[in-house]
Amino acid sequence: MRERNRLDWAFICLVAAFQLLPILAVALNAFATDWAGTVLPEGYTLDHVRSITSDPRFLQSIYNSLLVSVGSLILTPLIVVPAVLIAHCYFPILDRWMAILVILPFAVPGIVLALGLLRIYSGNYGIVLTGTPWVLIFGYMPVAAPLYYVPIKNNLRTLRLTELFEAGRLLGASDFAIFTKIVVPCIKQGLIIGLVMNFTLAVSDFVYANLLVGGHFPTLQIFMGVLNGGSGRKLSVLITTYFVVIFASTAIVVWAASRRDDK
Amino acid sequence: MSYVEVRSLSKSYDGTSVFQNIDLDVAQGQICVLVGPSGCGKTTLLRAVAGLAQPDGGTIHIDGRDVTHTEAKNRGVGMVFQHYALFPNMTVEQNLAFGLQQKKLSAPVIAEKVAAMVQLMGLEARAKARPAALSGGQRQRVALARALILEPKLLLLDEPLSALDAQIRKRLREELKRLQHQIGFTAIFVTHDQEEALMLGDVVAIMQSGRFVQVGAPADIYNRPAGLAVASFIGDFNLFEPAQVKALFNASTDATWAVRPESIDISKPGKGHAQKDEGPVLKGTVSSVQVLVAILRHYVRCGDLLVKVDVLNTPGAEKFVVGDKVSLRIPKHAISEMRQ
Repeated sequence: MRERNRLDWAFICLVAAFQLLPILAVALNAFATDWAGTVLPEGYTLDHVRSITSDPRFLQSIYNSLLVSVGSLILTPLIVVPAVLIAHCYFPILDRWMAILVILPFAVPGIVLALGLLRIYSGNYGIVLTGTPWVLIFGYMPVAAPLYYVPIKNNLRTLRLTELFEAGRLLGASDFAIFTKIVVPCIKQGLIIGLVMNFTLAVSDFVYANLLVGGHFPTLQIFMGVLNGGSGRKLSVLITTYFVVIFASTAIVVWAASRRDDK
Repeated sequence: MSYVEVRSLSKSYDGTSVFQNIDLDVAQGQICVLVGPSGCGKTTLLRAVAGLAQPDGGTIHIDGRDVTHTEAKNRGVGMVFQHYALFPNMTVEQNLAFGLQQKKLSAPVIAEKVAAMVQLMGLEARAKARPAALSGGQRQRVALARALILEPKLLLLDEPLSALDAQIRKRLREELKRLQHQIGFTAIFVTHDQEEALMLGDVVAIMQSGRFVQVGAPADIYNRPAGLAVASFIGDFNLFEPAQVKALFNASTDATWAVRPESIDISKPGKGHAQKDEGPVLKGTVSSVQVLVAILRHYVRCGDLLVKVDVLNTPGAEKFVVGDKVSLRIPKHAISEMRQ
């Protein structure tokens, strides 16, 4: 690989600036007194921030969103990751079906999936979860499955799993020990990618949240939807908060999952 | 009863027999090399002994214990794989410690054993490295160390050197032989490389199409091949069909003559042969000469036949060049008669 020269850096900065500009504009708008017809706002104020933070619905929505995200981050990998691993290691025939199964949530329009989930969780099959955070936690599961499946599968393909299992067994290890001590550490990268994308999905979703829980359990996105008709400045405060939460949480997930490497 | 005893072992996959009614004995402290072309069943046999493949019939005893239906991890065997099978997430030390941890040994004991093994294998400088940072030769040394550290009753090696380049292969072979003298393990070694087989084996078992065609000491296998199949697989042979024997040597036989290239005596006509042993003499012309490191290989045309003749590549030796008229004497004792 050749060394980067100034032109390369200029190009990278340009692309970065292009992507950061809208975020920056929204952040500025959150603190603007008035902003029309000028390049920069005419003045800055914390009024919008104060008015939003004094709104009880705001903190509640952040709390709700984090609850759903953390719930989803705990339950989804707990069910999806073992399924991916077991299918890959023991049932190559099922594994082929799994590949088709995981892309279904993307092939089916969101509205169809949401209505389907609504039918399942509204008591038709004896399960009533609608209006509770559980319906979102379980509803995100099929949508998040490919976010784990694809990167983990890529990690698994680079491993000679059959040999690793045989070597592990001959050294006296149980399959469970081989999974926890060898396979899972080897797919850590894929797992981190899955966790980050799972979190982003849970925090940023509006479609499922709106259809499945609506006003019963307002998440950050639903609250944004409510504010959408009103003040643009308040919405900017909300969106900026949302970006900060996303950045901070993603950083925490990445840090927590990659911490063991430093040893 | 020998240390490792395989009796009437059979294995087939999807109705295709890999081997049938195979017997194998390995004495304690010996390296038995299974050698044969790919697909002959040698790896399957090794995996059956390891417990990684369940045989359809027959028995396997290791150190007097019937292990035919014992789980792989309880057989007391260690295995070295062709592609190392090191755990990529662990350092060299952690790889070595893994098996000991499964045995629930205490941490100080594990640390002590790992340190000793690291030293024995000369891996001190790489002890904290992960497999990805090691060279092929180092990886295979770690794999060997990982198997040996558990002091297995039997060490199984599945083409452990075939993924390495020639120089490192040679060095590791010598190292393996040294370790065997030092530790005295019993091993079954699978390879398709005849040179490796003869160098490493105390006993060499040549396998073809799911059966042993010859089992014996390396020197015997080289000098007294049991048949044409062995002769053509191990080392180089000049083969003279009965009709050619009749035409070239005016002798009648119903057997094919097999003669090693290095046992033929080559000289300029009229100079006389060094070897006093009686034997037929051939006249021919050198058609090409190849330098095979320590030996010079001459292809000598004698009528329709191209005869291979090897001479040690020493500075003082008489040199033959393309076009030289030469006389070849084939000592009687060097002729192996082969019947199909």
